[in-house]
Amino acid sequence: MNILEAKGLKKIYGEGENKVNALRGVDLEVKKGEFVAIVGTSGSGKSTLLHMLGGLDRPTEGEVIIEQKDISKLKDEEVTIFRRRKIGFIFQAFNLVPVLNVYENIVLPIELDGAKIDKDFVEEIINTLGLSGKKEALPNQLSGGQQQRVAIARALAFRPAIILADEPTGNLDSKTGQDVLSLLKVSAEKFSQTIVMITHNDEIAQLADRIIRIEDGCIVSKGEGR
Amino acid sequence: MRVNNRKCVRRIGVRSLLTNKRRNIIAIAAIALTAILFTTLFTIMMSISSTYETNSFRLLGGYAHATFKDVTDEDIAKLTSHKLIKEYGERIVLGVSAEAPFTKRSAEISYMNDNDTKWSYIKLKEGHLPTSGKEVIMDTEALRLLGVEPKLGEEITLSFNILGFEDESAIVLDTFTLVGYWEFDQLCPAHFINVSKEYADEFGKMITEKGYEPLRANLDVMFSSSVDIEGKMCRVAEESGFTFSQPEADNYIRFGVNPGYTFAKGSDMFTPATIACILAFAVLVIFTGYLIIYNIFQISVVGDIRFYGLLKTIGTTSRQIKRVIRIQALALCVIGIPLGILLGYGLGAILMPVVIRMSTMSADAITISTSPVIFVASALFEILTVIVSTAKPGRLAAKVSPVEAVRYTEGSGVNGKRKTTKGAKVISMAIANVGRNKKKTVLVFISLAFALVILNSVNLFVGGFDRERWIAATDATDFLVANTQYFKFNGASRSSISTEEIEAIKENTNASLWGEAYEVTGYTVYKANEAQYREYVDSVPGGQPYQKPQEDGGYYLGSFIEAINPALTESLKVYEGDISLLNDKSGRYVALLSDDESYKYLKDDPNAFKIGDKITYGRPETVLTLDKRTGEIPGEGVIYDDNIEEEFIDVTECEFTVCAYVGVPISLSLRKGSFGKDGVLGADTAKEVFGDSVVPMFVAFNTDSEADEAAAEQYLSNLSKESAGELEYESKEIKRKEFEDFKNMFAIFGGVLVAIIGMVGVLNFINAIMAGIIARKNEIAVLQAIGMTGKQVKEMLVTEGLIYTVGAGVIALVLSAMLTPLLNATIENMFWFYSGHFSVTPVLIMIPIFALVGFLIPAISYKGLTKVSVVERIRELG
Repeated sequence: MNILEAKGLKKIYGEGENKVNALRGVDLEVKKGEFVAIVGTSGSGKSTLLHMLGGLDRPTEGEVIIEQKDISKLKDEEVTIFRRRKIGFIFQAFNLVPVLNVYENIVLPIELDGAKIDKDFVEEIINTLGLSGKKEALPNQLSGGQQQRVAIARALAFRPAIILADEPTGNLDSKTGQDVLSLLKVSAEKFSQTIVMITHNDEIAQLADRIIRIEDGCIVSKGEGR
Repeated sequence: MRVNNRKCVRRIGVRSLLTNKRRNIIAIAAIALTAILFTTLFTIMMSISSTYETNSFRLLGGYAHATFKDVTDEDIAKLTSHKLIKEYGERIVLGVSAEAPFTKRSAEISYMNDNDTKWSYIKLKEGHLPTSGKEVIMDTEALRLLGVEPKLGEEITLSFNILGFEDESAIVLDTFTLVGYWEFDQLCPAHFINVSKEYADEFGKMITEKGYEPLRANLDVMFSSSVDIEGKMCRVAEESGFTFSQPEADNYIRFGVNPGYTFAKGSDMFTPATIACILAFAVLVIFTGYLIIYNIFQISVVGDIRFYGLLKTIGTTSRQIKRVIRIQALALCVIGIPLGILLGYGLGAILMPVVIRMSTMSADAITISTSPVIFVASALFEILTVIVSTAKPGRLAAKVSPVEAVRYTEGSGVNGKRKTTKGAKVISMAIANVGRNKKKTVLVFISLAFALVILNSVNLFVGGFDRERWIAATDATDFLVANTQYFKFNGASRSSISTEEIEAIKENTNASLWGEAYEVTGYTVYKANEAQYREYVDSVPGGQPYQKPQEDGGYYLGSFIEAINPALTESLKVYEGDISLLNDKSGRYVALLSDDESYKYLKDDPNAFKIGDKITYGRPETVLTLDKRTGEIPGEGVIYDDNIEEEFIDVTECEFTVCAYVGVPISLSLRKGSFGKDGVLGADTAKEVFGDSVVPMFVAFNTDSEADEAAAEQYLSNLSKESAGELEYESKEIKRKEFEDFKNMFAIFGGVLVAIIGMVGVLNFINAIMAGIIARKNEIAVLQAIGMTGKQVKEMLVTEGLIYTVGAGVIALVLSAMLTPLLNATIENMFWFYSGHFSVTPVLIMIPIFALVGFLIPAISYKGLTKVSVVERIRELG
């Protein structure tokens, strides 16, 4: 079953002379439980693609379907609400809310939705990611690797349909990066999550089930499912 | 869909609030400053109202809500058991003394219970309330008039008339022991002389034996609130088994509502013009608040744009982000508003005496209102200001695109090229920086310039008050002496200034012109024809008793008659005719009163008298107003319709020839007017016709030399003091002081307003500069890294500051110059004593001061910046 589908995605920035074709028609399917890595050089359009998939930005043409829902047709507020329920984001810069502590950051999307927090589940995630001693800490008291683990926990907490990771190791040294990514993979398997990750690092990409290569706004290789 | 996410949004709002200390302090200060303005306004408004109330209560002799009149003990028991009545006071008046020494202000001998004593403003200075036998208490002035030392235990002999009887046989003489006294209150309508209940009861028995009606009490009552007193009184009366509408009924009861409660709340306090002024002021304050609060939030939202973008990516909806901003704003209100209200309330209390001095109210009646309206209204207006001001920054934060937020830097929205090949000079960089966030810059300019423009306008306004015009218009003569009542617009009466007093003043001053004015007292009337009668009835608000025509078909309509001696005829403004005829002994002439406005319509008025017409004035000894249905005097609350009839008895009538239409300067007039035809007579003619009812009202005189003027001023000042507030005078000197007071009031209020708006402007500037420096922390570090010296950075920042402040000064200068003609025209229209002029001096004086501020703030902020090394600052990038 395809949990994520992109059909004929195009994104054009600017007008006239300054027109930039960031995406030139991308088709993509991701199955439930898959760990997909999208690789490409900078300017290849991989970040734009991820933004489209996560509903952070709208495609100029084409559609993005997550769990049978075309999110490119939703209104702004609807996309936001859909995003916090169905998509877990992990960013290169961690993007934790600096004024909230670890636990509060993790449960934030749930609380924003007004949903009930499944405390046992959240505890389990926290334990899996090795954060149980840091629940009260503020983000600036954590190391980069710890911060990214909090971000992973936050992405998992709402049991989203899919997790989108944007260069999750980009701000970490290679050892920590490897560790964090292993943890991400382990927890995704444990909680049967689907992950789409972008990276420019081939070594990191090797951990994925499938590697999609993107160049100049087009997919050049869809990779093979393992 | 109702979701429970409020707590978490609130948490984000409150926590992120704490990270921005500088902004919070400035925002709290801004909120407090604007709240000060609102609270001061409301404090003064409500305090004027409550002072007016206190003043009226003291003039009326008490502050009980209402009174049931002439009740028996039985009635009292019935009425006071009603649940609406919270407290009650009882007063039994035994008698009145209007003879010497109480000719000017009568003395009322009565029993008051504890409540009534309290409600009559009686606060004993020494002693206790009369409890038994012939114990008595009274005020210090009554003691002085009686020639008794204010000492407990003194024996006092009083003579007074049994209430309602003026003949010799009703005079009672008795000796009492003083057991207490209180400080005399100038405003009190009578000298209260209070006796014990025991004495009152015995007195009642004594007079009933003599064949007088038994004494009746007045029952003063208090309800839980002063809302709808009349309605409550009606309910109490009816539900206790009385009627208040049928005077002939056995269970009829009369009551009166304390007019103090109705005036003060009445429409005369809050005219449309006053309300418009208050609204205009409120808009001004909201605008001032908007300028800064909007800017503070705008700047901080731009600074925190990444934070809001981040919240958005996580799934915070636009509405939730708006709430985050609103929560922050309201949290700042929680600190700022109480602070502002506290300071504003104090400021209002301090400014109250300045306002009251400008009114006819007594300064010692000043009551600072504690009405919750002040605090609630101020808080609501402030919250409104804050909500209005933060709405747009809230929308900006909510609108942020999660992708864009990451890249957002101040001014990045501005597209276009910089056409320059001159290279980057410090000054051109500074100009470019100021232009980065156009909105912020414009708001700072407006905020600073606004304060200067208001300052200039206040100065223009106050500086244009023309003292000589004021004095010339208000004072027709150098001095005017009369009884206090005259200045309170009550005209003359038998207790006004006496002939002896007039003689004494004449003897002790060196007057070059001596004017005397009289009023024909009593119910003076003119005889109207049918048409004039109809017109009169239509023009009198609140109904008018029916009159059947006199034998000759005429109607008697109330009209005031002033009489003046020849010296004062010079001061009249003649519209038409010959006023010298007023002093012509050969005929009887009258000058009819008019004014600039009504004289214009005179020609077209068919009911108006023409020069040479005959007009008949009359003075009845008695006027009976009777209810035809009962044959009795109509009670309170009875509507004046055709059932109420007026009858005039023993009318002294005289026909006069209209010799002129004149205007009397306010200061020489009766200071009151009727709906009839008010006239001016020569003093001799008036005395000839109306005899003893012509009573002196005031003397008005001029002096020739300055020495004489000073001597007269000195003499009158002493005389007024010695008279214990009975005689009062007006003089040029007093008018000058009054003028200065009036001018000062505006100067003080304008000053306070300017000071606060100025502070808001400077705060706005400080915030803009500091936020600008902090937002560009990395950028400045990079500039330093590539070779800009610290001195150059400072130079750049100071130049930015100077562009703001000096720029605002120049804008204010231009605006002020442009606004002056418009302001002059408007104020001249509103204040007749204002002379238009041109002045931008205050702005010119302020520009260097602003320049100093523009230099100091960036310099100080830069110092704070250098505490952190360049490397550290660069590292924070990202």
